[in-house]
Amino acid sequence: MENPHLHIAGVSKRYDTQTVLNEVSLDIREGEFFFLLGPSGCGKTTLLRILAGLLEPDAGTITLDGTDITHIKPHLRDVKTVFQHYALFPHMTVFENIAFGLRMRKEADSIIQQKVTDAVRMVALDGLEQRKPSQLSGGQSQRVALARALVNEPSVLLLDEPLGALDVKLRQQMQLELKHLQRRLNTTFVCVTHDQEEAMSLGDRIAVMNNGVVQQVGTPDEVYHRPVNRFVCDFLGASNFIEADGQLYGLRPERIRIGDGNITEELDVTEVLFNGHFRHVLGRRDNGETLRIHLTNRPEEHQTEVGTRIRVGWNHADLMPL
Amino acid sequence: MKKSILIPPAAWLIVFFVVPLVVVFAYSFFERGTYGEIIYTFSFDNYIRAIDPLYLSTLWRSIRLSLIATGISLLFGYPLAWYIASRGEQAKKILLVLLLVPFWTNFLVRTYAWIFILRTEGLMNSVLMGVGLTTSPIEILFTEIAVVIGLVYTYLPFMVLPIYVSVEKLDHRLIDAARDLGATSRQIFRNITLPLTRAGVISGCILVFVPCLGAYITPDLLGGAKSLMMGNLIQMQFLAARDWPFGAALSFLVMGIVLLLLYASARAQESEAK
Repeated sequence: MENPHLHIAGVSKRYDTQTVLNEVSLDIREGEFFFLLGPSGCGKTTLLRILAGLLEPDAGTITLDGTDITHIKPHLRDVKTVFQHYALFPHMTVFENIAFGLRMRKEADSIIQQKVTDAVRMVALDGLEQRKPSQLSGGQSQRVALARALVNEPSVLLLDEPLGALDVKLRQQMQLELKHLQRRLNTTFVCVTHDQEEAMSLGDRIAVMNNGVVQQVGTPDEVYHRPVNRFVCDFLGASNFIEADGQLYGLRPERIRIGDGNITEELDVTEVLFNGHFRHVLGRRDNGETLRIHLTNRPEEHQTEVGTRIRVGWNHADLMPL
Repeated sequence: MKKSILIPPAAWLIVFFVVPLVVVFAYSFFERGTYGEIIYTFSFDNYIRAIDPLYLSTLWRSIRLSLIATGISLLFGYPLAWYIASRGEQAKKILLVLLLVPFWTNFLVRTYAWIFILRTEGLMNSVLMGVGLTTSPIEILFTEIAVVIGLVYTYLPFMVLPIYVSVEKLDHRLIDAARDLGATSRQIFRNITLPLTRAGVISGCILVFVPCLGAYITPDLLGGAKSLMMGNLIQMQFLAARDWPFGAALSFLVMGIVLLLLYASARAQESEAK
């Protein structure tokens, strides 16, 4: 990548004998919504803290717009963070929380007033300026945390599981708002999550991490449809793993159809689960393995019942070599 | 829970706490007879006598020494509490026990030990002269300095424990957040750490100041005649002067000051919580 905005080169971090990050290198573009995705303990949060300056790496460098910021103290870098569980200051009002960064920089009162008012409006918190964090709902706290970081106009915004503490409905709504906000501000967002759906629906690109190593970097389409290994394939969504001619393939359950495709075979249906969007069918192959199939809600596919034998198929192109 | 199980503690408190207090309060309005007996006539004379400059100077010394001891305890106690709270679980337990170890020894014995340390030919002067910091021994024992040293020594744990609890409760992610938002260490302390551990600081200050104000053994043993505090004055009234009514009035004067102080700090914390 030419002149990446945020350049992470060979970053490693070790605690005692445990390697948390092992030579992680990533290039993040300006204005990109970038995700660090992985299971807990994969090192994604450690990497985020290193980017924020709250931790120092044992090795490697971090470059922001061509400047080495590896050893720059957090209060001197142009990077701000939305913390997991928000970490709002409980003894300060919403206004004072948002104004905190500006006050620490000793901005003039009139500028603080103006910028905080703008930030409050940006995240639609008008009228709540004098509330204390204990008087806010989860969604409102989330907005305060966003405004508190963004009011400083950072060139990179780091988000640590920003939607993790919200219930499903609210999370979906905040996902949309976050996406719109990111697009409007055109600020680089680097977001840590363990939720692959969130990463795929919001991210421009995703780095999938495991055991302190970046497994794959790509667009949601790339990592979902062309995973480089079994871990990535499995982590990004339900998958079947099939061996053919000594090669392991991933096969997404929604790619398997009833009685159709280049490759077909017969299965004994062992389980049918209906969740509204899909009919999850589990079928036993003749070699004893189980295939998971997601059937859509079309009437011709409703006949599948436990105990019956069905013919299913898929195309060569549906097989993802791992 | 049945109310009947409250009868024993309530009876205990009434018999051994409320009744004596009422008796002493009543005494404070009576008069001393020629031979130390009580004359049961009601008057405010004892209280009027208590605000005589002679006694007020002792009250003022008590307040002054208590404030100094509280201040020094806070200065030592805050970093100590912070240090303990930031250790690992095992080290924390050991340090907290060490903090309480002095209480396993009799208070009187510990105060006598300070006499041996502070007196002219004592441990402290030997060390000071040994390393050449001073050529002649410093007079510390039987001065206000000795009283303050004794008070800080005795009550420091009462400062450390409540601050330790509030530091322990402090969410360290808030400090990360403040650092991330550009605060320097000093700004973090002033804007985040101190306000969020204020409750512990206030409790600690009260827990040190109140017993200091009523201290008796420490000024008696370490202070000598010139560093008399209210506790000594009250004791003298009850024993040497055999003037129970005046001693009672002095006691209630000190208690009044303490109650006023507690009320003010409760009000301050209440208005802050709003």
